[in-house]
Amino acid sequence: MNNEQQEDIFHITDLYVTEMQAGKQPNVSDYITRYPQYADAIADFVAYYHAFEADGPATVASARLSRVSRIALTRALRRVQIEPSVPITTLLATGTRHFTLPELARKLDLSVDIVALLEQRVIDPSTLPWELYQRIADVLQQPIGVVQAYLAGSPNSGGSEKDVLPSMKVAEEPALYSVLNNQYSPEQSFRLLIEESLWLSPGQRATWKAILILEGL
Amino acid sequence: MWKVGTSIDKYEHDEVVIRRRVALADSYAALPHCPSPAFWQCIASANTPLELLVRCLRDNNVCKDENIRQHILQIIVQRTQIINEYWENNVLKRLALSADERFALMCDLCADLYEHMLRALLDSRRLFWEENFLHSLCFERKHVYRSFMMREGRWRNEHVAKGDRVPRALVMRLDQPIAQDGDRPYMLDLEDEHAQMMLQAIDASDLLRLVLHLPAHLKTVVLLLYWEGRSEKDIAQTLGVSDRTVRNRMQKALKILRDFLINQTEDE
Repeated sequence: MNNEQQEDIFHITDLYVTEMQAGKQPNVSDYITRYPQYADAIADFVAYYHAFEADGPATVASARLSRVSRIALTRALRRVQIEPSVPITTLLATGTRHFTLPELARKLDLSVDIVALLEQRVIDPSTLPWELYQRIADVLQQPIGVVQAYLAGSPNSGGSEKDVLPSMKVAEEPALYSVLNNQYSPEQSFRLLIEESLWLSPGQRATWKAILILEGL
Repeated sequence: MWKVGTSIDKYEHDEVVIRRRVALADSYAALPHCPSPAFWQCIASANTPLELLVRCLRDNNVCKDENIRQHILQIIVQRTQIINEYWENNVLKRLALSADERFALMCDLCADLYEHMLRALLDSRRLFWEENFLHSLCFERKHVYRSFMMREGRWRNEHVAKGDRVPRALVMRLDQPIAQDGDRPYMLDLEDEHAQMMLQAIDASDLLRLVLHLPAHLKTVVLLLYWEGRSEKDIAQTLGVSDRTVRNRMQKALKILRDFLINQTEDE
């Protein structure tokens, strides 16, 4: 299942839950009829939701930590070693300017997953629009030539995943909608990433598609 | 997205999502400067959307040091504790356990959930958490439920042969009379009538737990037939398959569920 499909399922099931909480009693069969390609995923979620979630408290309220929660939270914090995010790699840490992935993504109006791939230099540089080079150059205050040279360089010669993510001591199973680092093969086209990214908003996707069309890519 | 749904669905839902994003962005921009007292008052308020707390957690300009990050994490855990513990009780309530065993399992399950939640909250690629916290948490709990039950040997499917114990209450219900549509028994013309009777004797909530153990394509048929009360013909139409396919899937599902229930009885 790709990111777009996972996003669809997230939103479809969100609609279902919203209707349930509004007292509308939605029919599973209606949802399956509307979205037959997701029939199995919808059925799976609905069965789980009604078995374990539907009758739960609708609102969240602050409460002092119970004994169970205190014990559990201590264990969980021990398993997840939290470290502050650090600036990353030669692309994102230039001279006196340091950016984290989310910061740079916001500045470029791109999603974090695509910026991470840019940084790893696994996107085919010939598919990158001029507009993107310009934006990166503006944000990093570097000549466009430097940015071009960097993005045309060999992959993964800069930082690595461990520079980007909080370190994790225990192997974690990927959650339903997590982005996997090996999900993209090397040298993928920018257009494909724009189409498949889970994290781009519809507005961002439309904007970048328009830029690609404008530049004939 | 929304390839098959009507365009109205798409635009209506997109609008809701966009409105929600804009509202959250506005609220985030209006947050007092960190770490002023006003900021903490706002963060600790029950009216502050959890999505804002996630965004603060991921913003290095807000979380300038580890203490701030830890404090925000603790607030999130405190605010979600009641719903999380309700869920944990719900997951474990059908298991026949001693008090000590129940407490130990409760701590394990809760620790698993918190671990997954913390990892997700700290992973800035998981943007759904900044958009719809509670639904993201629901998906995380679904994931944790399955992995926890498998690890504890309480999940049976074709790939995981071994299972331990089952709720006694579930087995007891197998002896109850079958009734649907008032007092009229409802039977399909299937070979495995015994399995069908067993299924129909089970409470709806227990049926859903059983259904979760089925392979995906069988799950849908059982859910529509037994939980939503659709006819075989309706199901065939909804799924775009033949009546015969529905019947075959039901037979396969019943066989799996029957084996599951019989194993449960033997374990007890």
